Amino acid sequence: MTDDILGGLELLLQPAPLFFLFLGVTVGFVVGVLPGLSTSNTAALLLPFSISLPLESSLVLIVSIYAGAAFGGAVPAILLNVPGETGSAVTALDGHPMAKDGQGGYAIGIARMASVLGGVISGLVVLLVLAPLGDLALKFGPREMFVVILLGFVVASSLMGAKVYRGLLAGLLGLMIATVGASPLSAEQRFTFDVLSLYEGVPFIPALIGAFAVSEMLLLISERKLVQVDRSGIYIGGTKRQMDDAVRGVRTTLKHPGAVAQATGVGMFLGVIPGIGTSIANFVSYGFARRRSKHPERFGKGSPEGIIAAEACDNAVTSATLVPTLTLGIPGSATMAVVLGALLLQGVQPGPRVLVSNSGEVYAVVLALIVASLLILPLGVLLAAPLTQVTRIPIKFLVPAVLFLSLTGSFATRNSTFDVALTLGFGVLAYFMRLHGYPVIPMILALILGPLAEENLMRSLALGNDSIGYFFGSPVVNILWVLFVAMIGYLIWAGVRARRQEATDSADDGPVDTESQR
Amino acid sequence: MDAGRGGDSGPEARVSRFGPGLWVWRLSVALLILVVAVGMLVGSSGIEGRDAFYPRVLAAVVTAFALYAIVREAQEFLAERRGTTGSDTEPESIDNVPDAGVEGRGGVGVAARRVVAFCAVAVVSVWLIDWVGYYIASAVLLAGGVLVLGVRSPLKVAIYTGALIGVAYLLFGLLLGVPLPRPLWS
Repeated sequence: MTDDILGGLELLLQPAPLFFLFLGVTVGFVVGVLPGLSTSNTAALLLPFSISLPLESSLVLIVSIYAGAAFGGAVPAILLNVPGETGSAVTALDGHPMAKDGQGGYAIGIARMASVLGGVISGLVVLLVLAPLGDLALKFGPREMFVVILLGFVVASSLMGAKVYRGLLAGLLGLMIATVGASPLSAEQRFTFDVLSLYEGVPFIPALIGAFAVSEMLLLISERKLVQVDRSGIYIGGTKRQMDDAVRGVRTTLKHPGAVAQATGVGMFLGVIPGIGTSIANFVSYGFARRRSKHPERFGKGSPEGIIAAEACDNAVTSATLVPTLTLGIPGSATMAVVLGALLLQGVQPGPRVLVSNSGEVYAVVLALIVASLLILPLGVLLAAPLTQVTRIPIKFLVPAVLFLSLTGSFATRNSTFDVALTLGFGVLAYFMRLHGYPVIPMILALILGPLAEENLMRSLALGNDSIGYFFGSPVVNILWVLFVAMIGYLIWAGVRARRQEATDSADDGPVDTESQR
Repeated sequence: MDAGRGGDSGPEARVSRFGPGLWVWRLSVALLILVVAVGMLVGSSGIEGRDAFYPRVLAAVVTAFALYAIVREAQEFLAERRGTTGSDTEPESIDNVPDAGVEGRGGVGVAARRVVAFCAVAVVSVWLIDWVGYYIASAVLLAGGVLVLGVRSPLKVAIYTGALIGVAYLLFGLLLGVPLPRPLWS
């Protein structure tokens, strides 16, 4: 393992990956600050242009954007009460009251240090657990992989969206789309309608860019009134005051080691579950912190502990999502789906073998996430004030520009206008689904998981002479089946409970409590 | 897309007022997926041997699940219309998150004309790419896009479009060497 880590370090400490690390964190800040541009959108947009880069640089760029955005989203959340990322909504609960009291810079300082600690600690843990988990995953045969994919698909799909059945249905749609193209068995063409561009399947990048970026832009312009941000209180002082606030933020955060550890732990635990994402994890972390605090009454009114709970957790989730992504090939989040897309585009099959075939690149990515988290401290001080000005870009100028970039990116991958049209098609489909409360992330995950599921299913059937009994023929696969059945049981139980709760709420004339995540 | 709103005298009057159009709109995603699944089931009959196994099983599962989803959507829609599960204008996504916007609200509050006009501009510009080339089609997209979104100053539209096309030319045309589509006449 030490050799692998050193190999990763050697790869990372080259000029090109380091350049993309800096670039990624900076772009991540911008993305995080801009409401409407999410990390996954930006990573998807950059994917076509990163194909020409070496694998490690391409991956480092994506995860650095992820780390930068995890903190960047806190800046507008604190100063303007407009979360740049969904997870930052929790930061706004205590950060914005502090900003209104003229303590915006101090709140940003706390958020910055909490982000650094959350990212670094969780990154180090990921670094240590990756190899043992990878070794375990390597023992999985096709039948185990099939059940793992099934489990990952159900977990990820059911946890996204307001209703479990909507997430699952969106995922199933993705699985159907993934059957388009050559069969993995005989390369016979299926559902291609003689369209040459579909012979290798539905291209991933147009689907990804359309589902994430284009649909997001359409949602932005769907508001009756194009949202303009109230910029009062955006000023966070001159350089000296910003430095003072940064130092105070560091001190305050370090005075709450328990809060940092708890938030990081919650983020890591929830982050390894595919599909949980930062918004749910941050709310859970915030709830824990308030319950554990000596001053719960201060939460929501400008408590530093509240900011720490949200921000340390946010960055811990970011690192933790690497675990299912790299050990099982199941994306832990939308951005990790882009990471898997980058691997596929570079000819690397996602899954446990990545840890053997590309161990250097994998460890370089984890190390990049740690270094990117550390970089948040200096770059965050330098860039926080100028980046608040980014929020001045009006939506009416932002949306056509992002769409233009999206369509260009789609074209650049295969020089195909068919892909451009497909991007638009996926964008409209995803927009339509999101309007109706159907999450699109399961659809994209299914596009990746679908071919893997089919391949492993067919290989298992071949190995077991078409016997169903083969799928229950090892202790490991039986444990996985038990987990799968338990998950299905939990979903049914949770569904029944939610419906009863809804009925009770409506009888009491109370609010409908629903939960979702992007 | 405001059809989901009530504004009538009572729950029963509201129930009686929603017609087939509203039903189709509410169930549209599940219906669409059902149609795709049935199409796949039918289409898989043309695939031979083991290659057909996975798509056939998948299509059958999706068909069954889409039917279940349609029933669930219908039940929820009826309950909402009767006012038993809170307001239908309540967003179903991310509770209390400020940027939840129109997502998950079934089209309620959507500026439909703006979205349709913007999509039309995008479709036209994509259709134009093979005829007039990348740069002119992009100019149509950018200028048309900002016009639809309310920018009325010709100078601003021209500067915005020109600047982005210029950046694209430098970045994609010169720096990255992407072979962007050229006009038919060139």
